[in-house]
Amino acid sequence: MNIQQKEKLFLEVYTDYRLTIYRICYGYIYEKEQVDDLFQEIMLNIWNSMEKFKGDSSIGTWAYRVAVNTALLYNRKTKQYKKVSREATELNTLVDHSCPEEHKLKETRLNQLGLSISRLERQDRLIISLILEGLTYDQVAEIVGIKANYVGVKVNRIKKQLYEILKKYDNE
Amino acid sequence: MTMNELDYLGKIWGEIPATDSSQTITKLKKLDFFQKRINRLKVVAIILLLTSFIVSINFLSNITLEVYIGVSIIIASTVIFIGYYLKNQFYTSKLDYGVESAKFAHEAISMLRKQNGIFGLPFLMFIIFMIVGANIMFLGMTPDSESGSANPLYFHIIFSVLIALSGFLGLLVRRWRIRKEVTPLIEELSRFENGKSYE
Repeated sequence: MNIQQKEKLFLEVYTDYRLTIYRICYGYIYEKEQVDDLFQEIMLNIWNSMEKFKGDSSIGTWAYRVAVNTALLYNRKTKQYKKVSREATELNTLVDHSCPEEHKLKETRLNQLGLSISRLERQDRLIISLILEGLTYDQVAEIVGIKANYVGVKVNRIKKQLYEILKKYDNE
Repeated sequence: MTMNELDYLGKIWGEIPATDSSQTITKLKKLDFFQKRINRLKVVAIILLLTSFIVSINFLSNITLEVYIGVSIIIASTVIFIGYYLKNQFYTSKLDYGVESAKFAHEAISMLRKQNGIFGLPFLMFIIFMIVGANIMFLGMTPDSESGSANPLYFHIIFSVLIALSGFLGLLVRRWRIRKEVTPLIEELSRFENGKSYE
């Protein structure tokens, strides 16, 4: 693969999957600065792994795999096992401002969702982020490398956990 | 809050915007370029260092055979150990990020275990060879006729203990780091590898 082909393929991934990958980072980390950092690391790994892409899966699945795998090892040397405080981060970046009240509600809900996801186990965060992106159980299974029915069982459990955490926000 | 609202949250989740990363491709190309240059520079630096070391040894006079043998053992054992270390060291760049996460986790775990293995028998052998090499070298540097009041045996013991002690300290630090960094990572990756979380 020459540099032009590499750049073309990278641009394709970047254009089509950038937003999704960014949201996966957001689901995994939540803190803005670290989200950007992880996103850059994923893009770097996609760039560096480009030659290894054989085409035996779709480019999207491959890009998601790189994203999930990078997140698994992200920052393992410095901050990996420190509990990160996520309370200070506010999203406040939603694009749609047409209805201020609805916009505020959405933002509050998204912040609560982000916080709730951040309380899940690391692999659960990745799986629910993929599900929130609209991927099917089969697609998630293909990325993660486990059976689709396991994904289903896991997702149901995660949803229940999220439901319990979000319920607490409603009561506050 | 109802379970249906989770579906609603899934819908608005898609509205989270990405950061502006328009410079990403340019940055990556630059990084790619510099990475290759830096790797070439490293190789050149190592070759220069080794060459200058060999040349400087040849300029020294009155070197006994024991010193040559001792230094050779030290250099050889260091080179072999560093080679083994680099071969088994955990580098994220060695991993294929495009494979399924379970497989990726499996590969990462086996690499991490290999890395932990460096500080078992290979490290012990390295320390033993360092002690042997240093002692042979000191035999050539402290011949009985010139030692005067110095006690060669005492000298040998002190240096052997010092090398063993520094090796032991290095091992302690490494084991502490393994406990703190590597073991939790292996445990975390194991959940992905064998699907424990999904049982």
